[in-house]
Amino acid sequence: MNWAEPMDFLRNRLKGLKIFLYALMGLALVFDLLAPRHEAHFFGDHIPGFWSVFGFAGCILLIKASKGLAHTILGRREDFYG
Amino acid sequence: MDSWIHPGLIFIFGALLIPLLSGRLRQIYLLVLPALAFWDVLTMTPGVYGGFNYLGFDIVLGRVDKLSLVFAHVFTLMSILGFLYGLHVKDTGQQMSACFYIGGSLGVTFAGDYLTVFIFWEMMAFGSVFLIWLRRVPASISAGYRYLLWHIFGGLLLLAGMVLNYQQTGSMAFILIPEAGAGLAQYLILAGFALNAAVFPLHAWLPDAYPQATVTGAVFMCAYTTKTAVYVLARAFPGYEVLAIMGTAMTIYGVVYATIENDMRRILAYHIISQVGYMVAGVGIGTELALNGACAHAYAHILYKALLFMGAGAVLEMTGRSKLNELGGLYKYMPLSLIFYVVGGISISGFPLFSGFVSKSLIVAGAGEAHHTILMVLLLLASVGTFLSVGLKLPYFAWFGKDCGLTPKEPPKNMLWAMGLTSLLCLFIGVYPQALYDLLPYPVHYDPYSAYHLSETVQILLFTGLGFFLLVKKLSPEGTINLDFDFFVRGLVSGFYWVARRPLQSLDLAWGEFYRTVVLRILMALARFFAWFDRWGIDGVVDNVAYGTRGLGEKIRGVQSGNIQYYLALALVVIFAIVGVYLLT
Repeated sequence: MNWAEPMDFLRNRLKGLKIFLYALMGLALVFDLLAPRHEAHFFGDHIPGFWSVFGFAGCILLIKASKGLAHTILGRREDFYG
Repeated sequence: MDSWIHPGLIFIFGALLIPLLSGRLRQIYLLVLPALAFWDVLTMTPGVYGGFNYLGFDIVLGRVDKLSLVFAHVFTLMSILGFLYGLHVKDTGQQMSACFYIGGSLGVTFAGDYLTVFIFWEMMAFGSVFLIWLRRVPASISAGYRYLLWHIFGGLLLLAGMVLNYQQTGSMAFILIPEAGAGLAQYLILAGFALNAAVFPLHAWLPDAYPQATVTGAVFMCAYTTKTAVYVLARAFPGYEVLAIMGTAMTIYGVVYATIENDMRRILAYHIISQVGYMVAGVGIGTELALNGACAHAYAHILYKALLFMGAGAVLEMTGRSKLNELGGLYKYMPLSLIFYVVGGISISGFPLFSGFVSKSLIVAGAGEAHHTILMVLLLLASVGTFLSVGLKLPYFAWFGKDCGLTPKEPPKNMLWAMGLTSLLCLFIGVYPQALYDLLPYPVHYDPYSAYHLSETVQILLFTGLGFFLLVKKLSPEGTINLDFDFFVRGLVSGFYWVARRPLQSLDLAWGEFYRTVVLRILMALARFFAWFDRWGIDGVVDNVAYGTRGLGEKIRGVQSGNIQYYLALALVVIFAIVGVYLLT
């Protein structure tokens, strides 16, 4: 079997894939409203949808911060060490 | 069973046979050897074996308990997968050094005293450096030397700590050290261990060396050095606050670099720092839940990180490239490698039903239960970065992204099989976590599949994915490298070279000149004196003795005339003399 075929199948239906993923995010939020909170460790555990915001903001923050570091103090040309 | 066979010795002595075998026979042998060791670990019963006294030290080769067993279990299991992945390799040097490396790692795992720990510790360093050198390119040769220097430094820290600790306690026993009584000696041991765990700022050897190792060598290296260090930290230093903080810092540090690096294997190497950070934090938190988490995460991590290195190694093996800005669009040609890599990627990111989900959450929950809220939130932020860098960025730009124009084939069958089996194990642990939890040192009262934990994880992952695809353009790989602490170390090394070249060399030259002009002349004069003394002093004495003896000989020869009457006369004179002396006294 050519395993690339199912991947091409999905790549040709990116729009559908996007809708599916957005639906999944909505579902996750609804599920979070219903999930019992036995193991709350701090305030965020009481706010519905907190971890969605955390995941999204964390991702943006990490990309911005690390790319910022790379473009300012960390990044060097590949032959920097010779 | 009473007779205990050290699984490390199976590897160490087993290695000696490898170069004598060839072809199919060697391949079979390379699978039977680790399988034997795995079986050996499976059939072990807890106890203390292989103890003896050497020069007054109590040596314990085999301390078998739950903590050492869980690590030995995954070490030997991983060795089967690693040798399967490298089965096509014809360079027996790599397989032999892998054997010594794994043997050293198992030696440390079962060691009950610091001397044994130290010997096997050094064996690991020297076994593994050959996995770098045997790539046989200039970059790997120099990276290997830097790697070795780091580990010799770490070994010296450990040795100094061991000796001071022995002086204080009078014991070489490798046991738990309470934080309250820990002083310089104990923290030196801790630092020696921490270097191998790549704890910041002693971490720079890892992302420097691992990307330069051979394709199969890197698969071994990502499994043993850091996880052996996690084991020794868990054995001696559980509950040390400094480890909890440094471990959490490592998790963030690793993902920041993994997000910006360009070389696939360097991304994965930085990400080891992040993952080992979870384990070090778990050890540092030190509760039963967190220690269980550290062990479980080490177990799961060895499998999926090896799987990731196998996937990236497959690309490197088939294309000769490992930089993301030179790759892309490979999914059409290497789809199976992609699938297996992604299994590793979602395992490490902690997707439900995969192994990272059931192991990482033990540590995060351990942090929460111990009221380390800030640490817990930072650990979760690091898992965002994990999915971002290793789960999304790397596979996206290697297998999708812009097409690089290469049309590689899938890697050899043995590599695919190794990846497939490792993928299955990642899935198995995720679906049936009890199999892993039963191996852990303490009983587990934790259910990873609780509704809230599922909800938390799925939200974090989905919205991280959203962030990634919104900013994917920002992440496109760049042909750069990033400064790290090795900048200072390389500076130190260059400084050392400078000292060696300039002051030391001029000192050497000056000494040479001094030697030629002054010392040599003195030596020549001395030599002349002794030559004279020899000729006139010694020879004179010897010659005169010789002359004297010859003269005496002449005179005696005169006596020995051969005429019987002279002899008789001489005999009579002697007799008279004796009788005369007798009578007179």
